Amino acid sequence: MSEAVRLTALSFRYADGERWALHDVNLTVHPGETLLVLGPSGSGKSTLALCLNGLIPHMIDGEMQGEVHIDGQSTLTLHHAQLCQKVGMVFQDPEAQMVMPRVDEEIAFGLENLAIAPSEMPERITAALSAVGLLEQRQAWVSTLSGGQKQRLALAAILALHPSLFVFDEPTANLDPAATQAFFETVQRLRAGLNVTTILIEHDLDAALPLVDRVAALNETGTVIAEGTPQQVFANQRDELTRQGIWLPAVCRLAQALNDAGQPLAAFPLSVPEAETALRPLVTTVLDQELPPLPAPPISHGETAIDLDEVDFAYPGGLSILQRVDFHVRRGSFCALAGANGSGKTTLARHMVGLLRPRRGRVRILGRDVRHLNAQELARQVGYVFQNPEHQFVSERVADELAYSLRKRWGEAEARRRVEWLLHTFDLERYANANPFALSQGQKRRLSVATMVALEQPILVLDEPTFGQDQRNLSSLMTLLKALHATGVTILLITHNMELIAEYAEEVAVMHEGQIIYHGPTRALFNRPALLQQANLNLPPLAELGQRLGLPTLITVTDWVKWLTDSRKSERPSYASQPRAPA
Amino acid sequence: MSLRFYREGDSLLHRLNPVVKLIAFSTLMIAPALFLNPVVPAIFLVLALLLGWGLGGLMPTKVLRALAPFLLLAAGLALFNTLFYGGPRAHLLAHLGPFKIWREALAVGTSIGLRLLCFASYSALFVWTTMPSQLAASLIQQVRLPYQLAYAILAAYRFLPILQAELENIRAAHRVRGAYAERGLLAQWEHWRRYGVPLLANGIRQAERLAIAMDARGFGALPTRTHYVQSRLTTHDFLFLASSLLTVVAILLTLASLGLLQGLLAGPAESLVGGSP
Repeated sequence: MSEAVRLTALSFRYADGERWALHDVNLTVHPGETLLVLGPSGSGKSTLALCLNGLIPHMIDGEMQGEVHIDGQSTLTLHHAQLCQKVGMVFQDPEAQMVMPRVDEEIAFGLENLAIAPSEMPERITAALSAVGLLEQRQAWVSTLSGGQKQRLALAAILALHPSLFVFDEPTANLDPAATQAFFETVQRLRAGLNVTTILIEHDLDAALPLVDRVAALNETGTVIAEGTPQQVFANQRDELTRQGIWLPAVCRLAQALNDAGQPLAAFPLSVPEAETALRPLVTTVLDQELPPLPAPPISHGETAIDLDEVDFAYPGGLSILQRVDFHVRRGSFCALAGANGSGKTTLARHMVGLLRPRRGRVRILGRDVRHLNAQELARQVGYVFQNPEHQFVSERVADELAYSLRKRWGEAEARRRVEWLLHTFDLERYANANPFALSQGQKRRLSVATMVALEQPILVLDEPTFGQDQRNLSSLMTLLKALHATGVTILLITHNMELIAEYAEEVAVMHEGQIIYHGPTRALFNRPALLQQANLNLPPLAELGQRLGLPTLITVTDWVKWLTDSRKSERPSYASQPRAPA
Repeated sequence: MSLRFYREGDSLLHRLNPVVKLIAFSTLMIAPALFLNPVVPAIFLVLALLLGWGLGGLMPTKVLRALAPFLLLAAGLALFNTLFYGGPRAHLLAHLGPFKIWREALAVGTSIGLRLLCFASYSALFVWTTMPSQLAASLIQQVRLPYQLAYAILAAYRFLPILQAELENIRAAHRVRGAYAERGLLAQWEHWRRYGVPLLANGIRQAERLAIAMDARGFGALPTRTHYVQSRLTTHDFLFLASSLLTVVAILLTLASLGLLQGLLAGPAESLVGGSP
């Protein structure tokens, strides 16, 4: 049997592109295998996906060199209809891949395009829906489905065409942790029964890795820089990946950090269970080392920045969204707000900038009722960063974008001075004259944060700012937030990235169906598995590792390294005489 | 908040072929617009409410409540046209502050207001009882519209709520930045242009993504496609269409025979408002 997929010296340049989006890519995937494709934004991952199903070069203009073979046949000789049947794709945005109003019609859409007999359709629709667990929603409106259900519907829609190759382009980027897990579990189950080949582009490595047989990493110029089994790529080529801004799975980062700290593990782990095995000998020898204690709940009567008292909210004629929410954020804290999609996080946050008014209850910012503050006064107290940075842009030049807020408060000269300073701080100097819409995702994000701290607002609220950001941009964003926090800014970060919360947030509030069901120290939250599950959240991998090893307060790489190296310092004779595990 | 128009149901109106319904409703909607006379649209408006009630299972009170914004708009239009009527006038009815209310003006004003309501109620009956995918199916299968065009209409329909949500987000984001609409035409224009850029940028990007997703599932790959939703014409459809057309003719003939269609297409029927001079 030949390869399921073979890319030979594949290069592609878009008709309007200045450089190659993909450059000389050679890859093979065997039948039944799952290949994970990694790379920073702009590395051509999505372009690669479009080459696989023949939209490149059949439908999308540009210059292609090299060849793509699917099941031994070149995409150049296969017809569009054959390619669509063989290669099923699921894209990132659930909204932008649904065509029909109803669930069954959505699946029928692909069948109709390939001229499948109508008599055959109901059976195929039933099979596809039951494979992804959506049979009950057969007659439902697509618009009433959750994001996770929509992505599983997209999966069912390609499943009904009986493809031999799945191509997934960041299918879980918009989903909360529970929906992400459900998606991958569905894929896992399908794969077992179908022997289908899968190419997966994904940034959530920890959720995807259990499925993966091999990994390929692309760099910024669309060239393959690493390829092999996860072990080969993450263990042996991790320095190169890190240099390219590609994140490693959490346990790999831990292993690397231990290595750097002179505490190498016997075997390089790729999953939490493997890390558990590798760490257990170390842990058992040092178990009497003192664990970081579970922090006490924050003192509630300290000075608060944000106060919501018994806030109720419902849209006119709609369901109740917030129910008696009491929420207090201390001044100077770094607080995360987590919860499933649709649990009311954004609605809650919008009350803090006066975008929404509570139906009942009171909202205070730095002690003052928002009803008594006009929009300008409120804007000087609270910066609010929207999920999509483009929504906030009001001018055609980056420098004007910053000056826009500043001029209203300071004179022209002072505003100009501050613009210079902001451009420098947010690493946007080179783009002062660029159009904000023409910036990269990372630059847009930095600009949107810059505009929201320009007035020296003491409070900054960020609504899922990590959306669409690759690892490098995410790190630079978080570094910025940390620096702002260090200057005394109160930060409220809405996210369901649990690793980010573990790493940066001192305290975390969890929303579930319009109520705050937890608010307290981050470490303590991770000892409440039932609560996490109720809120569609999950444990970040290193916290899970801690739970498994009976060290529940270790939740970040830093925690682990510190604890293990501290234990080394207080070395006991028994440990010194312990033979090292064979490498 | 979403612009989902279709209301689930199994009434006769729901089961009609969408294209037949479109033709019948268009006739019912356009006929009264040809007469500058308040009685004709009033009759057709009542007919719309009866039709919705009898054949669509929609309570007239509910229909009127849903049309509340149009009621307001219609009242405004009627008032404006009554006050600022510039056509031939003969019968003064009353003084309203600086305004004189002419009988002819009142007839024209009321007629315009009622016509708007007629338009709104038939359109509402149509969208409430028509599944977009069935409309597309019958446009393709009965009208022989190229399927690419029918699906473009469907996609546009699906994009409305998405664009609406997008616009709400942009407005909120601009409010947070303190970008308010200022007075003056130029400032207003500037304000809406600011909304337009991100809306257009995102709209185009979303549309491109959707086009790629459709291509990836074989849209347009073959010269013909099969149909999951079969759209047929039944005797019900023919009966409905015929009786709609007959009703229009019957109403107009009756009115004409009663002498109520004088001044056809032009002026108000004198006998309608205010009695004899």
